Amino acid sequence: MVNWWIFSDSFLITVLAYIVVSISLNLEAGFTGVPNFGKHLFVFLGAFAAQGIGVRIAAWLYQALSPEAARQALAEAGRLVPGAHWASIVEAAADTGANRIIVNNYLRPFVTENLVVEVALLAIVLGVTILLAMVFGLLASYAALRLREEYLAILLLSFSELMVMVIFYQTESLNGGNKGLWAITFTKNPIRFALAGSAVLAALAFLYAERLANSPMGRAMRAVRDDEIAASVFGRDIASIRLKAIIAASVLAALAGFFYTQNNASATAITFNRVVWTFLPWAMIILGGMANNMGAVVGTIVFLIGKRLFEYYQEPIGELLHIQAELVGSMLPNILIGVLILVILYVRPQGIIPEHISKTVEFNKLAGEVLGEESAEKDAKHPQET
Amino acid sequence: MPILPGLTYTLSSLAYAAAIGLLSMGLTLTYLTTKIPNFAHATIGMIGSVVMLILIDRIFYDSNSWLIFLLGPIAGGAAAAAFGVLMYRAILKPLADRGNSVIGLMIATLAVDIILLNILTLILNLMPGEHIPKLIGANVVGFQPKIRVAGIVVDSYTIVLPITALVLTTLFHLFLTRTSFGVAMRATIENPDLASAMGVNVSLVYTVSWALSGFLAGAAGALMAFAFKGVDPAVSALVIVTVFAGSIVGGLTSVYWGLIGGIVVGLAEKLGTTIINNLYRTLLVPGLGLPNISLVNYEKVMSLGLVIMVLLYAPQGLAGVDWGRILRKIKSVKGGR
Repeated sequence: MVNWWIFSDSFLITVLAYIVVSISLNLEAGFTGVPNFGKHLFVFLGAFAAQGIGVRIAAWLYQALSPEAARQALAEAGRLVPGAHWASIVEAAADTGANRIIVNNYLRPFVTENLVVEVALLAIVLGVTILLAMVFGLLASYAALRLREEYLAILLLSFSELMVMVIFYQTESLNGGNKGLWAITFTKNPIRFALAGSAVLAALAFLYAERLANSPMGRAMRAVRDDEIAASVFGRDIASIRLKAIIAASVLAALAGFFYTQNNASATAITFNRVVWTFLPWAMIILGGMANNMGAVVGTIVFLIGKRLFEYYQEPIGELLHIQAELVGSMLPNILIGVLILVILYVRPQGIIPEHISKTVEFNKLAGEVLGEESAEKDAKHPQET
Repeated sequence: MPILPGLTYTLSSLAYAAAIGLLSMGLTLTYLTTKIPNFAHATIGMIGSVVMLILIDRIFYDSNSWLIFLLGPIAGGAAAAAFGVLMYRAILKPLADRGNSVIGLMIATLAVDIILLNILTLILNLMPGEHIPKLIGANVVGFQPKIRVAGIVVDSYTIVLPITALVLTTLFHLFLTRTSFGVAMRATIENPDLASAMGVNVSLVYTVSWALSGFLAGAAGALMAFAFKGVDPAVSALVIVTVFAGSIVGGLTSVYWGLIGGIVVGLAEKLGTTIINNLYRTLLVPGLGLPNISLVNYEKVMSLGLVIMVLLYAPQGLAGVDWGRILRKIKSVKGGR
């Protein structure tokens, strides 16, 4: 008997966010052969755009449009010092001590009450998300784009681990460090906004990935994955194809992270760790089937429902195995997910839905067109013969 | 503030560099033989730390016995070697035989990493300690013999670890050059097909390479248990970054260069960052008014920076640098004078 309350709004948002991340990972790993083991950084960038950066921009706008109210906000947060200027509220808004009061009591009402401000800020934050994802995608992969895929994997993992676990986690002035920050949220009902936004994003991501996979670019990506040398012999620029795939996928992942953060209303770097946002998406696309967008979606849904059910029944399972549930925590699920990946790789490496050949124009149609043109040319050349 | 770090810090940096060197060496070895970059390597090293912690708790709790530096690395190395063999024979080889690509094998090592990490954490959480009340996060610094260098009491593991690295490397070198199996291993690295045609049991060579790699990692991990403020397998998530950095700086083409690369990266991370930090805080902070923050927390930036530089300008790593030419150039410059 399943209690359906476990399939709540926030579960749906999680599923949609993971669908986007899986589709984007599949673009890199499945189609192009770029083993991105640093996906968590790119998901976190979307969260960072909403907390570390979005909060600062909102505070700056607040100070510019209503300086009196901004003074009041500073006063309530206990940061009003003589000679306070615009920088102080921007600073205070992203400071862990004052962040909660300023964001929750002042910035969110300010943003949601004025439609122009809201739309402008949303556009800026989304722009920042996309820009951050592109820049970091380039930085994280550039040095290894021309090398073998092992080097790409190592560099992407190292770069992301360093950024999330060292830079973002330890630098409190940047994004709250290990305490995290409250993020700027949009509309009066951010959960509804997150749901709608991630649903639209998931649909667009799927359509984009399907279109890309069946385009000449998609076939070039597969060629790079299957045989770099052959692809380069045929004039394909491997580095540029890989970079395009990484940048497109990073933008999608960061947008997913942005909408996911809208639901939580806050974000901490440590929660975007390698297990949660790199390893799980990998498990999902391996389960669903690599190089297959439908597989990524199906794999994500099946995986997350299974995981949710397991978490729900964890206590009885723990009792059955005679282990204390609070000690087992996330360890038993993580072990099981690792085992699941190994089992799938052994039993069914192609996943639930195997890769199918990319859709091209039907041969007969193509042949008909070419022959038709040829015969038309012939007709034009030798009209007197007929 | 003095620019150069003190004696104890220098010694612990050397020990860290030696441990990273051993880990990078093992990582390079399995990469050379089986062509799999092992993302679980740092966690395999943590097996050694866990074994050392249990040994201290059960046998060496009254401290001050040098025997711990002999038994710990051997027991930890043996456990890690056993796991390496298990990982290769039971997981990676069957997966490779089923036709999985390098990406599939890499994700398999990541899966093993997560499984092993959580099992080790579970063991430390569930196992009741006899003399250390709580095994997870236990600090064992006080359980090592006391030793004085230049009148200062230093952690003895910082002396033992570089010596252990030297001994293990020498033994490994003798194994590769003086035993027929070692020669067979070198032949297999050069050309597995030809070696197989000459009657070398390639599969056994691969298995032994995983055992050796695991032993080196476990021995290093056992001694590094004294370096942690608290033994927690979760640190491997960041250690692996440094280990890969060492292997890439070494070039991933030679085991010895893997060792050197690991030492270079380890020293750069510890000594390099501290010296830069001291310079920054004594010169730039008062001089230019830069924020007074400690750069030591960002030591991993150093290893990633080295990796990026090597990948961009010398993808073959230190092994690919034409050292003879550089030496000749230096000589000719000197001769010109």
